[in-house]
Amino acid sequence: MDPSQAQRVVEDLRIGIPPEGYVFHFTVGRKAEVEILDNRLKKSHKGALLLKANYGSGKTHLLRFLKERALEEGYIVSLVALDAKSAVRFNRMDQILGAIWRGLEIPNNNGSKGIRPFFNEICTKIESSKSRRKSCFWCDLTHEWRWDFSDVLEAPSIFIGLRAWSTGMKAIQDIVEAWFFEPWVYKTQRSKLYYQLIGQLKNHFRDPRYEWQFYNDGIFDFQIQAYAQSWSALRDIHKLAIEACYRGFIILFDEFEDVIHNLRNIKHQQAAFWNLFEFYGGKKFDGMTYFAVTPNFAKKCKTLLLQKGYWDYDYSLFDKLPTFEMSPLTAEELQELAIKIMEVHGIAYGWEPDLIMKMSELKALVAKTASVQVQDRARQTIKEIVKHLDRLIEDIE
Amino acid sequence: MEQRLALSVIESLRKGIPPQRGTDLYSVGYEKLIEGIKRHHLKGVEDRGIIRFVSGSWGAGKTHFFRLLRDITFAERCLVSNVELSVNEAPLNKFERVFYGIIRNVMTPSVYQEDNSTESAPFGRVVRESLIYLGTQNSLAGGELNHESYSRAVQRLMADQGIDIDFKKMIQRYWETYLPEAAEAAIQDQVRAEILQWFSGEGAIGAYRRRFGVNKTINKDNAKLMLQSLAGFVRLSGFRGLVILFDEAEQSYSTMRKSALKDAQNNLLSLINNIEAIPGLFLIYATTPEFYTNPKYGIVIYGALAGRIGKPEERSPRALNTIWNLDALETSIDEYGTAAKKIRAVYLKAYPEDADKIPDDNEVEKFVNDLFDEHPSLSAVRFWRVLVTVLVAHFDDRLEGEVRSTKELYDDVMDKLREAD
Repeated sequence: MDPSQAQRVVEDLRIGIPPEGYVFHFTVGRKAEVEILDNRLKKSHKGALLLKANYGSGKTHLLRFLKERALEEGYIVSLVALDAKSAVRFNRMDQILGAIWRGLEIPNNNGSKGIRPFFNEICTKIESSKSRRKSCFWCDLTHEWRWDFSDVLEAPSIFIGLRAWSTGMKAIQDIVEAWFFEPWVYKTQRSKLYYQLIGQLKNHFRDPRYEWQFYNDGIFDFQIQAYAQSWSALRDIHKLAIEACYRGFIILFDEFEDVIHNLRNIKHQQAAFWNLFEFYGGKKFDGMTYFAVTPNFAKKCKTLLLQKGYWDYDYSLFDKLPTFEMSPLTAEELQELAIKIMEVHGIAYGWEPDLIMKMSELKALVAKTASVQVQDRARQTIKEIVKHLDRLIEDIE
Repeated sequence: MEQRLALSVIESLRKGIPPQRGTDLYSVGYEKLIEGIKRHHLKGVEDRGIIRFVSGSWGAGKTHFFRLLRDITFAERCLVSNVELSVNEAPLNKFERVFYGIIRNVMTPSVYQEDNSTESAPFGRVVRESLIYLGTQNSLAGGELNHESYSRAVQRLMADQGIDIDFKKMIQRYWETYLPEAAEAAIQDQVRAEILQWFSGEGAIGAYRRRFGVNKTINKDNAKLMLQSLAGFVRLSGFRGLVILFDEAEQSYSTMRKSALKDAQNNLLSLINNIEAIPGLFLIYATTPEFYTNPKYGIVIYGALAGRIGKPEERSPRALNTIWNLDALETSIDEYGTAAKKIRAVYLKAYPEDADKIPDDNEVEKFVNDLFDEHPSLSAVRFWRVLVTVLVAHFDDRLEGEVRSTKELYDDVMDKLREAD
């Protein structure tokens, strides 16, 4: 970790958020929980899981930890923060899909996000398989490199996008990216999409379908039939990931209680809950998904529905959701974390804090802040440690 | 130019308000904070996103501080956008309007140096300077804009994957208006205005699709992503970063409906959570202490937000603090004296021909002490504000040959300040 990186890490800790790319370094204690989650990754456990913790107690940290570990294990991962005010609404699977594409990461790619690394890797696999001259997934996907049709992928849009991407033309790739990042924007631009991704590329492949068939079949529409193509696209990403020698596709949802607080239409909230159940059912998406919530999430959902007068809802569905609860950090674990923070702070600002702050002083500070009975005790302890170190260095400057 | 600036400063101080420019000429007490901001934040600003909060009661100097900050950030080759988070201009619960406000108020160092605060299209200036930088091999001194430089700039713009495609398209079309064969000036001005309207959220998407080939307008769905694109564009264009000074001037949060307040707080939380992903962005949010502590509309009602921001501390603000509490900034009588001498120096620059009529430094120091004794320590009006206003009035009296006691001056100015408030 160089000073610039360390400063970025300290800045994240200063405002109480887990430092991107270095979460594992600051993961202390919770060995049993970490082992359980690691085992899920190693065994490619399918399905979804609610990750429960109070605010400030490590939900986002845990999601980022999982992301880093999953990438190390060879998964492709997307971390999505729900935000009903910014087109990341959980009742809209097309918006969720767009956010997933935007947050997509592949292993060993320096944290670069988005569709490009993944599709570039897929195209590399396709190209490298051409020389093998034998049947394979890529041969089937491209219909022996003719790209005229495919029944390997479920979502026709993914096939069209990948086919266009494989031309290597930057302008075309930009269009594919823009479309997948915001599919709802292009819902009314289907003729443009047809021309740009199919019509003008006839020198690269020959799609036998007529233009009207694309429109009639809703190929450019991610909202039709209860977002069927959005769900299909998720399954295709998972399938492509596995065929490209990744272990699969994992989706992490942060700020999931946005569903309760910021989706203000009860119909939309019900749709969001249904999507949650679909993820848990494992039929519409067969990869792994994790949802960060507070411990009372299920109760909050049920209360919300009751307050809106929905008495005949199957409330048992909430109770059946698999959960995983994080235990609070102990004082000893916070102490361990404090030492790590002190070390990084020293790297960040080029000083030796352990020469100024005695270990006993650090322990006393941790003990004091950790003794305060608040939900976000962990966050406040971290912030207080950084604050104290900041004061020390500024006093000696 | 120096006299002009000095006159402008004195005129503002005469009214008891901070001048648009030249706040550094008479500031005191901010030295450590400013130096720390330079060292810890502006140095390396291009590598990370930063957010800080300013807390200050009415008259604590938030506006003064923001203008000081603006000056130093321009000196560090950053863009600055000063956005008032008011109901009318840019309410925080509607982030797209905040983005529009950022675009409307963004300024480059060169525009600031030209003293062109009335630039009608400040973002247009950013785009033009970007073209010069990217097209003429990084020479900000400028050069001939031709097809070669245009193509070079477009190539570099399109290669940046962190900028939204429609954002890039509009920038490219704006650049086209500077090509030698472009249409006559009036038409090009119109095209530029239309493009800038897109960035400001005006106009219908249909027209933009037909004329410029974009597929969306900047709206609530994508405003946060567009902010990311804006920051990326700024860095690409050779500036070190984009500093956004949010001023909650009207305490707009206290008049919001409950749902709007929640949206505003959620938007702020989203900014905090995502700032790390926007290198080159430095957000500074100034508000009053009630924002942090009010049980009805303060952030204390939203645990996730309060947990990240915290509360103002009763200690002198330092750069690394999350909240810079200007109310805790203690100014000594000696510092007030130093400020007074600085104001005297500015006054002499403003009215050099009357130098012999103005009190010398020793007299000024005595005057400050007398004034300090006159002002109640618990007064609602800050002594700083009293000082600058009374001092200028004192110098004006001397200039005009009038003699008033310190008490008379004090009473007169206090009456005026109370009326102004």
